[in-house]
Order: sequence, then C-alpha cells, then structure tokens
Amino acid sequence: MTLQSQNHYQIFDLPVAFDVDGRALAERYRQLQQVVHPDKYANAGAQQQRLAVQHAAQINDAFQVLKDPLLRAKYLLHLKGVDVDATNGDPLEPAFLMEQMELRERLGAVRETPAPVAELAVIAAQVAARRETLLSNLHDCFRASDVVDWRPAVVGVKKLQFMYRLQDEIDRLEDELV
Amino acid sequence: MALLQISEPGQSTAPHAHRLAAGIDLGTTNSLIATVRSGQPATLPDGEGRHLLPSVVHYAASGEVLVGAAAAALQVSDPLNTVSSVKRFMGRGLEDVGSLGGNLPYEFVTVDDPVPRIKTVAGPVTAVEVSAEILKTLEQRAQATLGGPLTGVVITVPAYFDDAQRQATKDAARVAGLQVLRLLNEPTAAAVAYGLDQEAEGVYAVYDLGGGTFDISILRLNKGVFEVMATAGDSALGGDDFDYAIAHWLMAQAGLGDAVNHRQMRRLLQVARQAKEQLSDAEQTHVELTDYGLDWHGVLDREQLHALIDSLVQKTLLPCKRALRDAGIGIDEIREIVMVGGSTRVPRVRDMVGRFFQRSPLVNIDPDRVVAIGAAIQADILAGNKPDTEMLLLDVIPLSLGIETMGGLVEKVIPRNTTIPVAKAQDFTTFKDGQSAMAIHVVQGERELVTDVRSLARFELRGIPPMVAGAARIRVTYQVDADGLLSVSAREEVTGVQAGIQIKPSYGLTDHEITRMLGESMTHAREDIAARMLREQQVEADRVLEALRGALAEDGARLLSADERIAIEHQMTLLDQVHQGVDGNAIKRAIDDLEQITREFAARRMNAGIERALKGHKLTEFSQT
Amino acid sequence: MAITLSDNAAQRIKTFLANRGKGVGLRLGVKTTGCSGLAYVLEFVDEVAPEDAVFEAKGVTIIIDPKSLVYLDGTELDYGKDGLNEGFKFNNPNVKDTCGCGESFTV
Repeated sequence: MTLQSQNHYQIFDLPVAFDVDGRALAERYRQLQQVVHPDKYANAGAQQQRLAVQHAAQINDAFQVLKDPLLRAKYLLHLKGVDVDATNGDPLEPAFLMEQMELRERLGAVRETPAPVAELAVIAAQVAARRETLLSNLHDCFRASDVVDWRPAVVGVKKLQFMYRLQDEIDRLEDELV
Repeated sequence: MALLQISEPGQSTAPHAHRLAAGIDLGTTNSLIATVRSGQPATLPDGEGRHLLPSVVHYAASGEVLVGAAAAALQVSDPLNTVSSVKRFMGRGLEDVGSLGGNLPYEFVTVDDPVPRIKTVAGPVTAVEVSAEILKTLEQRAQATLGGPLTGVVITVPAYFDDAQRQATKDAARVAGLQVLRLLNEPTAAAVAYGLDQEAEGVYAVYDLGGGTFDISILRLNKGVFEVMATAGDSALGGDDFDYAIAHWLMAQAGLGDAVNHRQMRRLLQVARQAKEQLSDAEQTHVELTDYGLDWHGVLDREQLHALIDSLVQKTLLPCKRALRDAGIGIDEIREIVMVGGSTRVPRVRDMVGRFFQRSPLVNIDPDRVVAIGAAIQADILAGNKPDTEMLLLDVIPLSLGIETMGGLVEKVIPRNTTIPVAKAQDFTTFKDGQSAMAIHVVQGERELVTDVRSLARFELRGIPPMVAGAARIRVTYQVDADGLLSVSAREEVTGVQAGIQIKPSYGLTDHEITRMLGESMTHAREDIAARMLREQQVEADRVLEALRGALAEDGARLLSADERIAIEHQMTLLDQVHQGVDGNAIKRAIDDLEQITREFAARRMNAGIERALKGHKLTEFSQT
Repeated sequence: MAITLSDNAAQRIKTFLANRGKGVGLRLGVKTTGCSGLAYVLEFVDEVAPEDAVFEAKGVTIIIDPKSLVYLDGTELDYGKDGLNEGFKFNNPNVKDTCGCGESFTV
C-alpha cells in the first residue's frame, strides 16, 4: 500500500481512536522521517528528491494532526464522514456562549485593569481549566465503540475551538503586555 | 603528491571524485568556513592563520574587490566604498533599509527598483553581490585547503530569516557559483555541533545573538534526531545595536549632536566596539575619541554600559518566552541553554539570559565557530560521506505563511513553527459571476492585516472559465522545502486551469539579473555560461547514475521484474553514452528519460523503506511480550 | 611484511580515532580504479573481516586486506602539510609511476 492512499492513523500504524499513544506516535514519526526525509536523498536524482519532499510533508502533516487534540478530533469525525466546519449541527447552549462572551469581555478590558499581567494570568488559568473539562467530555463522546450519533462530538469540537481561539487571543495580549 | 584523509568504512572514493563539502557561516560581522576531514570537523584558517573572515567588502575604482581584514582596514578611511554588515539588507527593500537604525555608513542609489543598491566607485552593488564576494573568498580558502573543488556547501541563516532573506542567501550562493546542499538554521547548526560532542538527549535552548540577528530555538534531541520544537527571534537585532547605542552615548558626551559625517560615524562605531569588548573583562575602560575631527576622552564603566544595552537584551527575552510557549515547554524542562554568537561574550547578556532561564548558560564552546562546525557536519552527511548516520534535522518555518483575503486580511495557510518540509492546500472561490482571473498575494508574518506583514509575491490565476460566483473551486497549494523556501501553485479544480510560481520575493532579484551577475562575476568571466551549464548537467548525470547503481544493487532484485530492470539498465547505458559528450541538452533529455522510467522504482523503494521502518517497531513489540 | 607509520601520522590517527568515538583501527589498502591503475584506501574500521591482516604500529591498529598486502609492503604512512592543505601520504617503494596528482599509481 502506498503512503498516499493511507489515512493519518494508518501511516503510523495506530488504531483509529481519539486516544492516541503519544510516545508510539513520536517514535514512529522519527522512524519514518529517517526513511523519507529529503536530507536522506541529497545525492539522489531530482525525482527521488521530489518524492522525498512529498512523503516527508505528508508525514509531517499527519503527525501535526494526530498530535493536537482539536485537529485530531476534527480529523476523526472527518473519517466518520462528518465535516465539522460544514455542519451546523446542534446549537451551542446559551450558558456556554454567555461564558464565552464574558471571557472575551474580560480579555478586552485587561489593559484597563490595575494589574493587567496578573489579570491575564487569572483568565488564562480559567481558560486552561475549561479546556481540560471539554477535552475529557470529548474523550467520553468518542470512547463508546458503538457510537451512531456524532452530534455530541461535533458540539464538543466546536466548544473546544472557541477555547483555542481564546488561547490565541491570550497569547497575543501576553506578547503585547510584556 | 596528494594528501589523503581517512574516510568512513566503505566510503573511499575513486581518485578525483572526492565529495568535498563545507559548511559556511555567513555572518553579519564575521564569516567562517568549516569542513570535516578524517572524521573531524574544524574551521579553516587563511594563509595567515585567521579563521574569522570579517564580512567586509571594499570596492575600488579600478574594479578590484577586497574581502575581509584588508577591506576592514579601509572602513574608516574610505567608508562609502567599504560595505559591512550587509547581511542586514539581504532580502530587504529600500523602505526597510531606512528603518534599520539610521546613520548608515554608506549610501544607497535611489532608483525605481525594489532591490536596494549600495553606491560605490565601482558602480552600484546589491547585498546579494556583496555576500557572493564573501562566499567566493571562503570557497577559495576551502579549495586551497582541501586541494580540490567543493561538491557542495551548507550555508547557515538565522532561524528567524523570512522567505525573502533565505532566497537572497541562496541567490548569493548562485552568483558565487556554489552548489547549495542545504540552507541550515544557525541555532540548529549550533545544536548539531554541540549535541554530537555530548551525545545529548532532552530539550535544549539555543540562544544565538550575532552581530545583527537574534534567534532562540527550542530543540528536542532524541537518538540523533534534532527536532526543532519552536523558534523565534528578531532578524534586525544584534551586537551592532550595542555598538550604535554606545556610539550615540559617545556623541552625546562629546557634544557632537547628530551632525557627524560617514568617517566620524565609522570611527565612533569602531571605538564603541572596542570599548564594549574591553568591558567584557574590565569593570571600566578609558575611551579616546581621536582623528577625523573627533577629540574626546572619558571613561565608560559597566554600569553605564548596562544602562545603554539592557533594553536591547530585554528585547531578546520576549522571543524566548514566545518560543517556550509555542514549544509547550516550561522553563524547568530545559536541560541546558547553549550560547552562540559573538555577542553572547558580553557578560551582561549571559547574566540576563541566565536569570530568565534560571540556570547558568553553557559557554564552553567558542561562540564564533560553533555554527560553522555544525554546518560542516551536516554538509559532510548531505554529500554522502557518512551513509550510516542516524543524524536527522527536523526544522520549522519561523513565521506563518498566509494569503491575502477580502478586506485586506491575512488568512494563515501554514502557521509558524510547522515542521518542514510541508505542503498545505486551501480552497478559495470566485466572488463575481463570470470572474475569469484571481489575484493571489502571498504574505509572511503573524499580524492580521496585510499592511502589517511582509509581502512575498503576487501572481494571478488566469483563464478561469465563466461560472457563477462561488462555483469555481480554486485550490492554492503552499509547499515549503527542507531549505525553508516556499513555492506556491494555484489550480481551478473544476476545469484544471493551473498557475504556479517559485516564490520570488518582492525584494528579490530576477533570474535574469542573477544570470547577468554570474556572467559578470570575476571568477566566471573566462568561462562561457554554456560550458558551465554543460558541466552542471554532467555532474547531475553522474549523481543520478551513481545513486541509481546503488539503488539497483540494494533493491533491484527485490523490487523489479527482469524486464523492468533491463529497461532501466538500457536507459542508464544511453545516459552513460551521452554524458561525456558536449551536448548539454541531450544529457538533460537522457536524465529526464531515465527519471521517467525509474519513477515507479523510486516509489517502490520508498514504500519498502516505510514498511521496514514500521515493521521494526512491530518486531520490538513482539519481542517484549 | 613491513608497514611503518611516521610519528606524526601515528599521533594524528590516534587523535582522529579518539574524536570519532568508535572504531578499532585504520584500514590501509589499494583498489583498482583511477587514471593510473590503483588508488589508496584509507578508512576507519568498525569491524575486522576474518581474512584481514592486523598489525600494530606505534600504538595504532592497522588493518589490511590480503589482496592489498603485496602492494603495500615496505610502505611508510606519513602525515604532512602542503600550503593550507594537510593529510596523509603513502611513501610506497613499489610504485613505478603515479598520475599527475598522485592519487592513483601503477606498480
């Protein structure tokens, strides 16, 4: 079987699941790069070099996706035939959206607080804690082997996406404040 | 009598076929070249025993070009024709040049040209040409030392160099007539030099403060694999800025105001630099400003120096913080901090970095030479002199690559710190009925507005057949190779209309200009371009044949049918026949034909390698149970 | 059978082996190739083959394959400088003619 026809899990010979053995993933990633990386073909013909770039890029991409829980969850749903970005799915519950808005407002007002760096750290801790809860919920959504309804998982992924965006915003503010 | 070096087992080459390779540290202040001989990497000195080549080039009216110490000696007496710190202008436009610290010691030609040109008596020169002179001088040194021409070189660049700056560096190598095996990030090179010494495992930070650039890289070392987890930096911050800060203080002390001429400025920078270096050992130093109408004496002590440079050193700590965050690593997880670059000799830098990382940084390797040494080790491997090595460098892009979307916003296609090589595709659509073309603007940077990031290139996908708005599916693919260089292609998926470009940065030289420079360059003046192309094709033919012979010996029996093998060998014979001839095009055609016929074999070999790699883990798992 | 090392060569070989961190000694040999017939082989050795001849000279282990022995009898290995270049030199009494560069020779 060629690499191109394999999904990200098959590339690393890992079971298709939300839980991934991080050590096995990293180990196999390194083993595969030892074979395909363009540095191993510095003396080969142009064609072999192109092939190496393509394979190394594909393995890098698969590794990035499987390493990150959000990208992994989206990819897993994609394998189940669900495209999260194209699915409207169930609306997120108002309580969650309210909380998001509150957090955003607090972030927006960080600069005006007496101790912006400390305030940012408080918000960051809160976001991190929420993120952990959402992740563990997502684990539960994927864990059952006989899932037929992926809607709870889609909702979980969408919520997690909100948290990632908040984190980006926190990182950006942190850079600006220092 | 030829002088021989010791090879790795089984790697003795035929006479005259040595794969001589070198690593080059093309620095802001100094440049070096290093190579591996008899298994030992070392920087190469010139005839007078000097390893560091000052990155200074002097142009005389006669057309004579001086490089290094001889040029540096003319800096104060002939500042306008003596170009230094040219690395700061690589891949930069005229508007950037103005913002690179005022008081420039030489002048730029103001013409309507995206590439800035420095005015000299020998005519205008670009940063690429100046860098090419430095590269040529280093190459000559290597040839004299190794007794033969170089097969290829690895050139280091700051990790934080963007695509335009990398492309400019590669262009300089082309103008110098060098084959670039790889552009390698400086901190990664330093880690290689250091890591192989110590057989280190774990997470390391490399803090690299050079003359004009700053990088921080966080790497994970594991069984010979160097995985860069994150990199950050500032490609316009370095020891030069310390010198400017001191020079401005001296100007204020001497009551000079801002009205200093080019010579006085060079002199001020020279004195500032000496004072800075002396304060690395002494608590205070006596400063004498003399010559060129300058007359001031005084004392500079460490406390004053700190007041001048602390904010600059502080500026390096923010990228350190960002790199840690991007790597997802806490300060306590860092095993060691490796200090690289001449500017890390300043004790204050060591103190502040040590305080930030909460441990004393490693300073036991010569910070000037370590980057060139690492590049030499990588060059030796890429040239094929060490086939059994497990060493592998997995690097990242330092800045996000994006595309302009509606409303002047940037959509990120490849985020910063993504491992290279990488390819990412993004789909776009038309927004008007019957729209037949789509402009694609490629940018690099982290900000959200196009006006705040660097423009790399613009191109257009034309010939989209008339469709209603939103019906076309335009797939834009970004591919970054192992040098960190980007190429972009676009394709309308419904009809297959295609447009692709090798990214030529907006501030880059055109291929035409590079060919012209090649023609003009001194060493190649006598040599016909056509003859050069022919030789390149012959070298390529040798390379392809040698690689294929090795591949056949290894996998031919296993992966090819008898017929397939005969067909490949037949095509190899054809290439062998034409490759000593004088027809470069015929050689190229024969190479292309051979590559065509071996495509399937190449793919099978790679897949077999992948299977073997994965089988390896299955076997170990089996034996463990 | 006599193969000798100059003091300088022995010193260098020891240093190079130490820096490499592994390897049991140095292989000397000749192989057929080049513009003038034969060329020298100078390689680190990680594994000694059963048919190899093994010598000890000035604290350095020298390994030679049997086919090369006859061409190298009486050879002295030296280390020297030529301008910026430096490296090993074979002083081989069996050599009748070398090519211009000295990288290959006939016996």
